[in-house]
Amino acid sequence: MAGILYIGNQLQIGSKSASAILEPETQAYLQKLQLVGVTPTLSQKTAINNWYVTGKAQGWYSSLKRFYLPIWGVAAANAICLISGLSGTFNGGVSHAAGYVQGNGSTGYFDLGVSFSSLGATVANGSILALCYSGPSATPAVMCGTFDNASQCAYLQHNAATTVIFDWNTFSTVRVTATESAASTQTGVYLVSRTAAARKIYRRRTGAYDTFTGASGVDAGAITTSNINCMRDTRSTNYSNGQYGAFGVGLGLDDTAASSLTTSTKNMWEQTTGLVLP
Amino acid sequence: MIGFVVSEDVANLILSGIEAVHAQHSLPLFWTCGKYEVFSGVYTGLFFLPCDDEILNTPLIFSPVKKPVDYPEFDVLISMLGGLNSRVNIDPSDLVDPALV
Repeated sequence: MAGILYIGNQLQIGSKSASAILEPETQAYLQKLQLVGVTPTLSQKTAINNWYVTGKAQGWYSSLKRFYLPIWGVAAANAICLISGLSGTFNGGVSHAAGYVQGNGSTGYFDLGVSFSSLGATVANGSILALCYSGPSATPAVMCGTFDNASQCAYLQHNAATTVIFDWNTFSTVRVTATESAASTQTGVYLVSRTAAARKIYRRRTGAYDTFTGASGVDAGAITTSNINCMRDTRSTNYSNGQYGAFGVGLGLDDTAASSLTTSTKNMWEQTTGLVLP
Repeated sequence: MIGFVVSEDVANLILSGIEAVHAQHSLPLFWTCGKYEVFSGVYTGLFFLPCDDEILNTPLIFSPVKKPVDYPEFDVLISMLGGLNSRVNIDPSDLVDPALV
């Protein structure tokens, strides 16, 4: 049986060199991890590489501006962005477990150190992604976003026991709502996207993929300029104690890209952690 | 919650110190204890710096695993705050801005 072997950054199958070579983005990310003492396994490297390959082939990679995989058990590794190579900052009480991070619900959050404005998002173009492994014990609890004021906000939130919400630029009046069963089971890969055509929530779980559509049309106001936070509202409220295995932000995505990105993220997370997304 | 209650200037000084420690170790800023305004209770108007066991034992990097308490600079920062015995215990609700409720 032919064995699979990595020699340096080249994949070899048996005695033949395969065409698969680790993407430069994969190599860069692995180098960043190594500097803080994390050495992924072969299967983890493959899973991460597959995510990059799929993203570039499907086109959604260029729309992503920041993406984090906080599965490594240490803050330094969890803070590294797979897109930019830069690091966000964990603040307060955050647990770094194998497979996810979890805020304490009162002080813990992750600051991306960048705003939607600086990433090129606009009032009609932006997206947020969060992989939630276990929902919070109380709501409202923000997964990711910002809130400058009622006309400058962009966030994905566990809103109540039976709702997850997405507000882009305008608070409440053009909200997208996903129906849920309970706060603790608000799990899955959530991707929320604002394009000129529509506002949508895409939710991927094991064995289920649901889309929720909100109103279309251009908002008034301006794109938010505060640093994007995860696990809390940027007004220092609505902290989440959910368990999260991925965060991402970027430009708006269509239905095809959303389906591919959520599938690829689910696959990468499960293959790197050994866990199963609910 | 256990931690230090200080003025905003002192809070910013401590956070700057944490950032400087990162730079001294050639690392990007990836972790701080955070600072949180106190809105109610006896410390209203001051700022809270969390410093409980969870904070003290946060896994920062591997090979070997290092936590905040494992850095010599940590003792310096804590001494600037009066030592661990200067910590207080405040109610989490004191950090909630009533204007946003």
